[in-house]
Amino acid sequence: MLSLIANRLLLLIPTLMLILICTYALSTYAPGDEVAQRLELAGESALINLDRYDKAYRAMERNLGLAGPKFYVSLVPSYHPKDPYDVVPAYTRQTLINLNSQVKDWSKVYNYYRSAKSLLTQVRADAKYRGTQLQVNKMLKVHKLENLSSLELKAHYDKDIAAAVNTLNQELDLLIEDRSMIYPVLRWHGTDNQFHHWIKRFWSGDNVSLLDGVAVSKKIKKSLRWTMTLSIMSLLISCVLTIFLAMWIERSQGHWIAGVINNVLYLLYATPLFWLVTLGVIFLTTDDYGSWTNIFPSIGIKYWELDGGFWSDIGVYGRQLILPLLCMVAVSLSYLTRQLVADLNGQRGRLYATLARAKGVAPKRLRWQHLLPNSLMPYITIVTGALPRVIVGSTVIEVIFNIPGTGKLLLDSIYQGDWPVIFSIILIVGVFTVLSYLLADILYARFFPHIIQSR
Amino acid sequence: MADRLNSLWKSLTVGSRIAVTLLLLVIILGLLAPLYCGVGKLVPFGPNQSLEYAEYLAPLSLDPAGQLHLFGTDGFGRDVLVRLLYGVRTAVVVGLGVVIISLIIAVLVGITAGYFGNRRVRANWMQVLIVGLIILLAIFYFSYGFPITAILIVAVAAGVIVLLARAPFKGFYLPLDTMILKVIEVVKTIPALFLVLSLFAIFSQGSMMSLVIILGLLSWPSKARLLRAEVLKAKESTYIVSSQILGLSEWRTIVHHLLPNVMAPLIVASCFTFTGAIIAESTLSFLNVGLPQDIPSWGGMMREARDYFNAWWLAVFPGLALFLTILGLNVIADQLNNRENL
Repeated sequence: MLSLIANRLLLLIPTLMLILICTYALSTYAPGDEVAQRLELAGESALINLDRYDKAYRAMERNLGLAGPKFYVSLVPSYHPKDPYDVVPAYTRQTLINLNSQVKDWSKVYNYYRSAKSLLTQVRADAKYRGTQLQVNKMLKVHKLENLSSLELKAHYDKDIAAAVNTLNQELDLLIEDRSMIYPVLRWHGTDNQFHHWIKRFWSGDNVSLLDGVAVSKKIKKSLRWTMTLSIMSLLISCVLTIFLAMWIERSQGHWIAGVINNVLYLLYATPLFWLVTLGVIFLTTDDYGSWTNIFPSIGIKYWELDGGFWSDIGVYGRQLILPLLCMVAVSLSYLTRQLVADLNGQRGRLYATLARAKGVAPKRLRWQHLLPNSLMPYITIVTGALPRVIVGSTVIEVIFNIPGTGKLLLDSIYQGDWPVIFSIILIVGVFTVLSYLLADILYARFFPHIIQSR
Repeated sequence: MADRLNSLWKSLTVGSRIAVTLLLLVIILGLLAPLYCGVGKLVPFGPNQSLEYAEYLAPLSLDPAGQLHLFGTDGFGRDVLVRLLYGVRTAVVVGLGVVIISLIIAVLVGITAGYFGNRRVRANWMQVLIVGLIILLAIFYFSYGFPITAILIVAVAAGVIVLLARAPFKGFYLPLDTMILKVIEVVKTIPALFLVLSLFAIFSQGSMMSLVIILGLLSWPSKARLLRAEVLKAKESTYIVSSQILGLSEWRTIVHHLLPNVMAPLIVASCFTFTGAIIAESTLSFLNVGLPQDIPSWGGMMREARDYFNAWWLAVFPGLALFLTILGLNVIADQLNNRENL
């Protein structure tokens, strides 16, 4: 038992590492520039003062731990720049790095960038070109726009600038070499890398939402209470109900009501949760289909105004949880009960059950004390499998009923591109899933040791 | 073939016969939808054709042009029935795609784990080292735009690895079974819905292809485990042992003798993968993060019912289609499962 737990814990470490790395890898693909977004929140703009913006950008990037290599090690071409983080914003840096894969000499590319930037600054300083500065910005190769002919340049801008831009771009063209073979080098970056800072930032709870600057941990904590209320309640209700229902079906097999219930459960089992919920909302919360169908409180189209504490909020909005709870219980009940009944039937044919009957154990006692404990195995699987859902709840339910839980928070953040919130939730879900699997294994080992041994 | 189909049909219960007939009928109707739906055809509407002044028409009502809408129209004036039929195509493509991808992976992985196990394939450290190095190098050259170099490196390395098998290094057994079981455990912990949600959020435009690939890559572990258990059982059987003793190649043993005998339980599992895939797809479309809006999908149609509660037909019919499909597949899967256990 102990060795099993130790074994599982050892396996936990690489799994958690993998989850961390995968989530981080996903996060590096997130669209948009987090630094630029935060600077915009702070009111900085590149249009007002380029130098000041660049300085602020560098400081913010350092601060967020986004300036630096992506990981502890990297496998890059030998000409890859070691420290390009002086070039900001990140978009321009990436363009330069791409350019460097053609030029294969970072110092030349960097020089080009310096002269391009000084040209830009010069143009911007000149009041004459106030309206055209952004276009000039685009004409430089750093910004990828290469198809403007010099004729167009002359038509639109001052001859001097056009000539300067042209010279710069021509110089660059000369630098570009034919693609010859490249060689990889393995670089070690130490702890000053983005991944390290990302984990540190996550661990210390320093992340703030991109939308409103509220701490991510606070947002998640707030929504978690609603989700947990909902999912734990539905889990408990369906587990308890299942046991009684399954025992009753098992007892009264052959009775027509049991047959009907069995068939209803079979139909419920094939019902997608979100369909059941949508039907419930449409037919049971409004007066549109006759006043007798208006059983449940209509769902809020607007967001819930959560001003009081959790308990006073639940006093106000608790009624809204009834229909979602009913739907969740109905769907999980169908699955659980069918499983349990099938398992109980299987147990009934086993030797120990026959022996107990032969010894004269009362049928009720046999059911509750012998059959039931032996068929609780699917329960462990299902309850531990549902644990990650305690965190994110049933996203569909929360979205339909406008319940401000974690699932809805995740979806809203996805719609709005609030990456710190998204990746925090994904990470928490991942860790929780792994932990619940560990719990399942431990419970199996405790209650059904033969299964672990046969694995 | 016809005989076998006939006897299979006769062994089905009435419920399964109805399920099979209905499913086949719906699938054929759906797949042939472009033949009879569209302007000037039997059903004069296209799946994305908005009719003017025909928004939210109730079922069985006529639009201003005097055309009958059996299942009504949605908020854009599109015919619900036609979109339902086109939704069949989406469901079939997603379901079949996921089943095929997951089956391919499950067969490869399950056979490797079950047949080769922990004590059959030998390797030495030199080979392991070279494989690791080559993977890194190939990825490097591939991602920096030298695919031919990458392929050449892999080819040369493969030769070296084969030669090294005869080299006098100290060898050991590759614990393939253990490694695969660990990988399965890790993959099983991935919460599929959230991975898909976040992936689609990051790469903004989701396509049917990417959805199918992601779901397929996530739904092989249970099947692989099932297959591994079957292979372990079959490996002890006389027909495999005798084919090994006869000196048949491993390829022939696996493909001609092992595979046909272990695939049966996978059919039932595939039914559940199919239903799981279409539920996942429609849930995602319902949440508006799945497929592009112009692809008709049952989940996407139900989303529109949330905007306008009076349009009950938008919730009832697509949901019913989904429900009946799942029910039919469940009935068939149960029947197959019972046959197997007999």
